[in-house]
Amino acid sequence: MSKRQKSRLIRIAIYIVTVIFLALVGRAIDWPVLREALFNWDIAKEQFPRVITMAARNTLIFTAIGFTGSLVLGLVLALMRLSTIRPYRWFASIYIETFRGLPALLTIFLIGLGVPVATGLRIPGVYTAGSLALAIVYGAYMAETIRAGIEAVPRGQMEAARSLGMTYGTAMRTIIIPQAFRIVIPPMTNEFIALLKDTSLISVLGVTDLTRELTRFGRDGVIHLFNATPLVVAGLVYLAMTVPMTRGVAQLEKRAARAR
Amino acid sequence: MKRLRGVLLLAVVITLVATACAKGASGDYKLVKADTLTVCTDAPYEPFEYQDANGNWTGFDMDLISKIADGLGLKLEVTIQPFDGIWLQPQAGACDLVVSAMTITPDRSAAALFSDPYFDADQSLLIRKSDEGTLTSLADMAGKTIGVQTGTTGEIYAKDNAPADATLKSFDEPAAMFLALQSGDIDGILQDFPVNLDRANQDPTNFVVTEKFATGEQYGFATSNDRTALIDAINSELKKLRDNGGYDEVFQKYFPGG
Amino acid sequence: MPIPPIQVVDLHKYFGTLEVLKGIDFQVNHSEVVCVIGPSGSGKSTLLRCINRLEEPTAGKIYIEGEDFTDPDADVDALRTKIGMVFQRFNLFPHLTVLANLTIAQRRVLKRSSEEAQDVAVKMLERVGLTEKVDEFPIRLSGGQQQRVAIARALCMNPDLMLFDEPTSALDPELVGEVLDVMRKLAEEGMTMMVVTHEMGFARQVGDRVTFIDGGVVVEENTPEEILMNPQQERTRKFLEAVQHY
Repeated sequence: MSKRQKSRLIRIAIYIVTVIFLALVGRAIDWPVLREALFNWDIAKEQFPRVITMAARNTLIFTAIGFTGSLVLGLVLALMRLSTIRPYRWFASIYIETFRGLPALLTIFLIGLGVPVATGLRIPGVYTAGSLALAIVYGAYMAETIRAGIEAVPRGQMEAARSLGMTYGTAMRTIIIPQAFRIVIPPMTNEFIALLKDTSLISVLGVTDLTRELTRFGRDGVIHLFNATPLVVAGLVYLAMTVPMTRGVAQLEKRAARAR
Repeated sequence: MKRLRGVLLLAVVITLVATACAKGASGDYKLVKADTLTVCTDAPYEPFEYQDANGNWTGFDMDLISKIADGLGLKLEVTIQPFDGIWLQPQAGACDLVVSAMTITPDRSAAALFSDPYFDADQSLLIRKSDEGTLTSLADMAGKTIGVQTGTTGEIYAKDNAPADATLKSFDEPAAMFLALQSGDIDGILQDFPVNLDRANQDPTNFVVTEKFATGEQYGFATSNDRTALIDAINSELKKLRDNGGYDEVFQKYFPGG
Repeated sequence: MPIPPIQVVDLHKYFGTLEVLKGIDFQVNHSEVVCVIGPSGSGKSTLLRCINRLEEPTAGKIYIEGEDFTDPDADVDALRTKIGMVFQRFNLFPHLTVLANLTIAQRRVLKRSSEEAQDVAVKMLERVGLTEKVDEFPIRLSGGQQQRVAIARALCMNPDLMLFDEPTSALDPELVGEVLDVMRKLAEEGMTMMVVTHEMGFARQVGDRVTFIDGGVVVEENTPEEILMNPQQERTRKFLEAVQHY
């Protein structure tokens, strides 16, 4: 038997095994029960519009505030990490290692409940504690992404800017950082999506009717309706937000590669 | 060769019989683990279920169910779950019984099978000691934030009875609630009286129970609807303990003079 | 005696333990075009970069128009505006148009108004022959065009002297000429220039002086004709033979 014939036979065999396996699984599943438990149409309809107008909205609010905060924090930390002043470098390194090494849930609990109790400081605003905690965590990840971006800008750019008489600060602001950001847009979008998903952890700090985010909303539905459909609906809403973003980034990367 | 075959056959038969018997022993109760009563609980929830410094399970619920398990000749094993939806866990196969200071409600009874009631509970409002002068009742919580645990009867009571402009904040677990009260994030906690009282007694400088609401609610153990044999057995043990003073013994330990 | 635009005294430069410049004395006079040649690793680029303090000298002095550039208290940014620098790899700012490349430093460093900066920019683009590219992005230009824009960018700051670090080494051969033409024009207009280069033809036609550097020291210095036709040192001869092999 030639090599090609053999590989063809193997491929056919794999197809057949897969089809048999799927058929067996399909037989084993009680489809009506599954549909009732996960895709109950009436319950699914009941989720709207609050799953969008309240739950998804809150998820996006937490994401927007948290992401903006983490961007600012990340930029500051990245610049500190690259600084010639040693205490700045040390502080940034320690910060980054700490918050990248802790589970986000732990940090959220610490910032939202631990610190206020220990210090007596109150965090004002309904969205603040959760968004702040997310910003603190993701600021650490952003810092590394942004730093990589800044370091990816060719050295010659800074040299040219300084040769024209620009100060380090002006060169950074007008020449280096704009280019760095263009470079890091794909990884940053991934951070954005990760942050969006981690808004699901915020409910550990307590939710009011105003601040109920998507996962909490889905979970509440499951408990009180004894049906998993609300969670499936919440999941689909998450995907509706994250998948276009991932696709969009892939497009951006493709276009950037062509332009080069 | 023939003798070997004979031995093998015997071994197989013995194994089959033994398995059948074992199944028979736990088969009635449909236990998740043979010879063991596996319970789900949301802990720590003093004074009902918590672990002491050595990690041993203690508390009113735990001591009581321990006695019941002994009476049934079963070992006791404890798993921890979040409270919200915990009454669905036996059906999901995570445990045999929910032992978690759980109030018997019509809603929950639709999805789970409750034992006879084993404790009379009330709801209550816990506040910071510093607010003792101003917040004397639930009505005083107007414009304030009340913490409740998701899925509890306390949450339902608060929704039904709190002032219209009070904000309700729902938490997954009591620990976060107590911290939030202390930090000023919320102004009061509405939950079971024994739990609030326990916290106030442990930390009288910071917390105080300001109002008690007689709701007539009662705790029960819960299991899946099909474990009728288990519930019957538990109910009969419970009755035994009430009759022979075992129940009072546990009660006095945690609620002296109550 | 007028102050020389560039004066380098006993310059030493170490990279770690490696001594790249071993005591260089060097000078460029007003309106002079000095071409610096030498094998790779000789330190000629390091010398030029030290003059702009893109590399920090380890020891020695550098005077730009009489001012001590190596003084730790020197206003480096201000002195750099007097020095125009052209790099081997152009280093245009890719996220800005040609016009923005030319005006950004004028506005931010020299504090010129947008109108003034734009006027100067257009004039400099005329000098290098690229006025039609004013709104293009650098990525759309050929290498030769990019380098000419880079020269215009440096000229926009009205420098007193210009440094060229192997300006044509990264260009395809057919594009070299357009850049050298611009540089020749600059020289004819009296610009003080220091050019590190391999282009011997340019050195002979435009250069006032050729300096041969090898192994971190100035080996020989003379007029282009003398150096190229009549090299005194053995090392110079060897180098010229290797370069002009074909």
